[in-house]
Amino acid sequence: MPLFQKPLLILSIIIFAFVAGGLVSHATLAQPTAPGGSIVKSICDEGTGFCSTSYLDRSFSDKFDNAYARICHAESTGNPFLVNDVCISGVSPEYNVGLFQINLLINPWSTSTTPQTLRQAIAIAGYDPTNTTCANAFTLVGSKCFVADQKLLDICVNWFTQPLNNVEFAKILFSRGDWQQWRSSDLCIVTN
Amino acid sequence: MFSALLILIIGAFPGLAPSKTQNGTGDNDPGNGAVITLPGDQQTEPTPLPFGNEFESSGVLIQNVYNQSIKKLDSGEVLFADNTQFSFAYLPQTDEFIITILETPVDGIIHTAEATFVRTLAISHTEACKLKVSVGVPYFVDDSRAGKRLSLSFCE
Repeated sequence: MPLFQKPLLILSIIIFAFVAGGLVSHATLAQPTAPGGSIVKSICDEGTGFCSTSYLDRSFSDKFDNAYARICHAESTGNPFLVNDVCISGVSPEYNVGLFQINLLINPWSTSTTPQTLRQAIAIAGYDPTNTTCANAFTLVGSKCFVADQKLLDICVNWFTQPLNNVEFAKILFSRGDWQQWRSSDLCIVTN
Repeated sequence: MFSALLILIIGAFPGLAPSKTQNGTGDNDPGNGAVITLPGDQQTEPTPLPFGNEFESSGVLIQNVYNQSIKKLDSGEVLFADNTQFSFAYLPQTDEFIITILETPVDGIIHTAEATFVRTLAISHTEACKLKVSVGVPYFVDDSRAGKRLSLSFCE
């Protein structure tokens, strides 16, 4: 095979792998459907306060059929202060904060998608927001995390414990189809 | 050249990069490179907070939880108990209390939390039952108990 064709072949393989991966990924995200009906299962109550539909409806559209309110309640009970820092003890690589228990080890998933006010808070504290996100507050070794930068962590925790911030960020994840970000979605998904 | 093409391809498939669980790590850029602006990015007006030793909630005079504040949010919510077993939060917008159970055994901790709650607010059980109180267990504490919105057990 001529040398110049090799990159094209590799390129084709990569494109195929990504497309196939995307299909599998989409299938994984599809909600389970009950035979003959749209309601699958939900042992979850809708929450109150910040996890009530009346509060969350400002952010979420009806197409999620209130599943977000149930997931919110299952994750945090509606307590905006809730922090689950299990990565500190090494149980799981998660440092989850606020109403939707957003995992700061992976969210925001890049500096370019860090919400504007969080970027501002990061910048005001003296960091370069184009090169710093919440994950930089941690050093991760397997499932165990070490707090490498307490100041940065405080900024992120403070931002994500603000209810509106947390909800709006969760909305972005929902809109991307990332239901599986929440393991409680196994309990609380109510529509296909 | 090839690296540049690879980067372009990865950027063209935003659904592939993000982790599907919160168990992983990685800089999963969706590829559009845009800065996200949330509606919440606008600053909100601070909520006036109760002052004095007591204030009224659902017609019941309770100890001012803001005097026992561990943490307050800009929008007025206050965390007024927080230990390894449970936490108490008060949401002024809905005049509502959230009791979150943080440890197992859940039933035993609920009773401890409820006893602490009425003692902290300096109220009777009867008065506590007039308040809007939600007791809940997060998924990470006990997935079999998560998703249920309970009221104070002595109110039933």
